Amino acid sequence: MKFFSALLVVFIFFKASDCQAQTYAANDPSQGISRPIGGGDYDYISADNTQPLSFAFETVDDLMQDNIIPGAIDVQVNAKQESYNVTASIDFKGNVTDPAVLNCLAIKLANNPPSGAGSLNTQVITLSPNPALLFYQPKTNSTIPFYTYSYSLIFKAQTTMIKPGNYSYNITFTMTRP
Amino acid sequence: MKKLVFALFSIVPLSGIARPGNPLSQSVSGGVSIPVLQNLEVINMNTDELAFKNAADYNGAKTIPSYYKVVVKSNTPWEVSVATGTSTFIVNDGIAEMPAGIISIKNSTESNYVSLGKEPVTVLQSTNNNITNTYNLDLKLNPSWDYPGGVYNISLTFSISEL
Repeated sequence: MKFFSALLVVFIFFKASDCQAQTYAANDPSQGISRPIGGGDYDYISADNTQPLSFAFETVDDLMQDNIIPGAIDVQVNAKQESYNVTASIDFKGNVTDPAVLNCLAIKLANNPPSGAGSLNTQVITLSPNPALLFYQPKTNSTIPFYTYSYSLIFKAQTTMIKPGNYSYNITFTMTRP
Repeated sequence: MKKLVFALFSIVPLSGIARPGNPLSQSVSGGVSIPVLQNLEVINMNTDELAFKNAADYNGAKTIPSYYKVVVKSNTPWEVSVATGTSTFIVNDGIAEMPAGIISIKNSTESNYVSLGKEPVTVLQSTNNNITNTYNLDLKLNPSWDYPGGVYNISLTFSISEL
């Protein structure tokens, strides 16, 4: 019996290592290519920009209209094991306090919802540090390896002053169990 | 036997990637570059020539309400200043040097005129957080009787700057 227990402990150790590696890949933007795209038993989310997510302005009139990067971000979700809520939030780097800056970016679904999609928000969603619900991804046994949601990135038209500067940001997509 | 139960329980969540309390997330990065952006539009609302046609025009200063319409666009606090191109008017026969200071200007919603000269003087400042603001400027000319009749010209330069 002691021998059998010892074997089990060794088995768990190696499986745990494998699992940790997969989770790390899904959480680390720098590991975007190495994540387990293509299906499998692992639930995961990935986010990739299809083009640079940069806005630069040359005239004040440019600030006063929506600036849109169509289909800027592809969010891929695999939900073979569980159902998930998928949210997005934004984090500006540095000490940014101007509310106009903090609320200047939004996303909007750019493609037709995948056939396996649940309820989703098709409106313009202003990004903030607080996670905003994008969609509900039901658990699926489909053979489709993952579902792709394409989002346009929008710098919203400004009507009030916005503090000049060079701002960097991260948009984080998160899937959590409801 | 306790070890065996523990081991079996632990295997279950390892079959999937999404473990309880460990949400999955991934980020994308980008940037926004916003310089100081300003635009100033000055529209002359009175296309008639400014003429002094009778004694009454000379006795009292001639005022033209809303002579200019000014549209200011700025993403930062700002001020608008005005300067004349020369310190005196340019006269067609070159005999009189009427100073630029006979012109004064003010925001239509305010009461005090500001006399103009070659050095810029502030005539408008931002008072709210809006990017776009529109103003009317009243013009006043007070040449008195000291200058002979003639055609007098002078240019005005409007400038916007960050406060």
